[in-house]
Amino acid sequence: MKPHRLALLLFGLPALSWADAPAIENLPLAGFVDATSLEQLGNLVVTDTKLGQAPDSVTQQILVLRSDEIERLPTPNRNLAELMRHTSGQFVNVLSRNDANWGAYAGLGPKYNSYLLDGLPIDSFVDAMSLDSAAIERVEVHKGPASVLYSGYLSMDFVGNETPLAGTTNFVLRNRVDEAQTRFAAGAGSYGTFAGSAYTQGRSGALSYILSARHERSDYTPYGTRGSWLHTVQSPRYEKDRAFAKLSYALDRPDHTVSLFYQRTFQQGNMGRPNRDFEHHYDTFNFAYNNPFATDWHLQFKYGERRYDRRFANDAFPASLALVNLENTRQTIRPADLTFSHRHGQDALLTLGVDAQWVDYATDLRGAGGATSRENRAEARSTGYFVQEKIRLDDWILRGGLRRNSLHNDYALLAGNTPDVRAASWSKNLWSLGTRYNMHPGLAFYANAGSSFMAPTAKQIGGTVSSLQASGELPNPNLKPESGIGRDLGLAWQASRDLAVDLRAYLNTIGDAIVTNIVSAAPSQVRSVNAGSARAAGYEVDARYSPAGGSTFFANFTRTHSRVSDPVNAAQDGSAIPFAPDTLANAGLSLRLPGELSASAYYHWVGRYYDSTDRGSRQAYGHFGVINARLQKTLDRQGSQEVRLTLDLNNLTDRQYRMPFDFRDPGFNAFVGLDVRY
Amino acid sequence: MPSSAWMCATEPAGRPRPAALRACVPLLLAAGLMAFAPLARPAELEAKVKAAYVFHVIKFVDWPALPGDALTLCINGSDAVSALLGDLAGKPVKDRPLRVLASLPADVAQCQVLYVGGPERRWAELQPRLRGHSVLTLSDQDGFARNGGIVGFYPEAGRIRLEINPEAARQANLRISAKLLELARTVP
Repeated sequence: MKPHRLALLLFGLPALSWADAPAIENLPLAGFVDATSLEQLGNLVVTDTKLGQAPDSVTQQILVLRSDEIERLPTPNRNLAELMRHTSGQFVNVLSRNDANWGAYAGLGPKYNSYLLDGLPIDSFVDAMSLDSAAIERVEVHKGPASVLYSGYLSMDFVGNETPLAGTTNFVLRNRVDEAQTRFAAGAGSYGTFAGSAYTQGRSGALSYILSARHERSDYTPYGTRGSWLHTVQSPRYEKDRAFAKLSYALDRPDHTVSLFYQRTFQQGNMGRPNRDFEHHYDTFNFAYNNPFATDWHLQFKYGERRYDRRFANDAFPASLALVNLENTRQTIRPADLTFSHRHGQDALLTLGVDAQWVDYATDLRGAGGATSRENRAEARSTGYFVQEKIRLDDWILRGGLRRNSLHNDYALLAGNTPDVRAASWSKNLWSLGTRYNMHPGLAFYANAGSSFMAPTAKQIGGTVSSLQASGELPNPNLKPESGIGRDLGLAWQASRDLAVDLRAYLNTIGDAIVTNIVSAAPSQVRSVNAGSARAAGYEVDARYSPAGGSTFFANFTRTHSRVSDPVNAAQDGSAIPFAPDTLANAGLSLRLPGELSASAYYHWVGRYYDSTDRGSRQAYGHFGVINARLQKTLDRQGSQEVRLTLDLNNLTDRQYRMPFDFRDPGFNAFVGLDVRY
Repeated sequence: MPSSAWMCATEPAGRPRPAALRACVPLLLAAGLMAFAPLARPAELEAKVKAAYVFHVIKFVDWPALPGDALTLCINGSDAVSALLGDLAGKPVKDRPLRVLASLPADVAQCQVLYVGGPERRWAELQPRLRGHSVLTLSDQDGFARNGGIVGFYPEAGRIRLEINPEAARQANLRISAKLLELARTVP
């Protein structure tokens, strides 16, 4: 699309945003009450203290995506990370409908951004592509160095741990149900894609329930570079089945509750070659107990299980399409959290507690002949103690907290070998500080700083080879965790009733950065060492215009400069942090038009980024723009019954841009769906 | 593609351009100009939000005892919110229908909830009559919660906020849920 046409689309049509539109605020009072909740009216956020807080008492910038906005946002790859694609500072880079998001946050790579599901950690790579957005009531994007209240994610899988240094994104589950509703949806789209779903929510006495099931199948299309390991000789078909249940029970008061969430995802298909099939099972479970006791105390206990069971078949492409082996990866992560909150003084909140995680990780390799060999066996556990105090002094908010985190890893088997290093442990003290000054009701300034750390991966500690003659990674038992400090400052300006402008600058530094150096060319051996440091500095500008009638216009811009320092290896000294684009820009609109029609269009521009720090071998990506659009038309509305037609037009300009690891966006695609709710 | 400096344009892969820094400036300027567009929200919306608050707040308050047939919302005075509340009559809340009385009955014990409209002097006159009764009082009068009311509204950053007087709730033998207290600011 030509730039001037885009500008017309974005800003030339607000005159059409009057309505006979079915905006919530235009409903009669009884309908308005049904369509809103106390939390929506109060605009609460929970991430910074684990209890509901007004945004003006939060020292960090928090962006909230509510369920109505989630329904409007295009997610071409059905990945929850795509909901944040148009927010500032965040580079969302979903590799395909069957692969993870490999993006960046505030100039740091994908491991320095953590995801939460109702306050318990989840995997930002895998869970974002398996969880169902219908379960999500809102998304809170918590920018900047996260509070000390959340631990990192202790994954032992291919990327290792994830830590909340650059930001935390909390997917808040739907909880209490006020009104019964049932929805059926079905649709079809490009690549022979068919999808259907059923959803029902209701209440019986003190029990609120939500049940949902979804099926999708597609012949899909090539999504890799021709001739690469992703080369296809047939349609890379897939099928996904997802089902979840959420139960909430109010014991004796509305705020004394237990809740359960369980989702099962089954995904199978092939990557476009006869012996490149895959089969994944994901189970996600959350339990929560909430009890405000005494007058000023609140107890929360949460426990979760995340089970990942993935199987990939490998062939010998390009030499042969014959089956070589089957990889099977199983990982179970169990996070738990016990938090006490004490409200005291005048608007002061003390939060303290303990959290823990337990991890079992195993991978096997089964040859074409059926023989199975064990490849990796590892366990990990962590314990964290945290305390945070937040106080309000007139127009000032002050927040400070401490965390003591201890990690222990046991390595029984790495790359099929018993490693020389069988265990590793670390303990770190972390801190977080923040302040906010509400100068007047429409203008606030804030600043935050906090520390975090990233444990080395299993193979970096234990190595993948024990023999000095074999090729692979040599062990380094003395490897220290990477230490990070994040800092940000900014302003939030409600310039008028309808226009909000935010500015944020950030500086993230990583010390003891782990870099992998070549030790020997023959045999090919590398070793990871604490040799470097990394630094990412940048700024974000956000503008959001929301006039009456339910339409919204936004634009944001992020500029980042990053640099890796490695005095040991000149090839990567001074290079940019991988996966972090130097520039990101977004613009979009969501219009409510006459005739019960709404239209959304989002433009996303990505600057230059690289897939590695090594200047000799790294690949450059980026410098492309993508437009996604969604049209929704209510065909029929009678009382609470509604029939809605949705048309998604993704990648309108057919940009088949390259991504790391030989992935390539397939370009323009469309999907049309019908949604019946009553 | 013209050699426009418009940074948000679709660009072929190539070298980074300094002009890209200016990319979204036109968008931001346009958004800024729109801030002055005459698109004020109607006052009715504010009243509707407050009326919805009244309904939702009731769900998060516990009374020592409630009549079995209905929960009664009484209205005293007249303002935009008072005029709307009648539309909520019959809606189920706390497992019983909401009954709305457009005026305060002689026996205030019939009311579980009292919305106080203007003028402000009425509240001073009403307070003695409410003593000893478990009545949840709400109003959008300035300083209502500081003046002995239980739940008041106040504007902040373009939104309607709640303020709660926990001591007044305690005196009325009402239990305010923590969820509501999280949402509101408390006043002495």
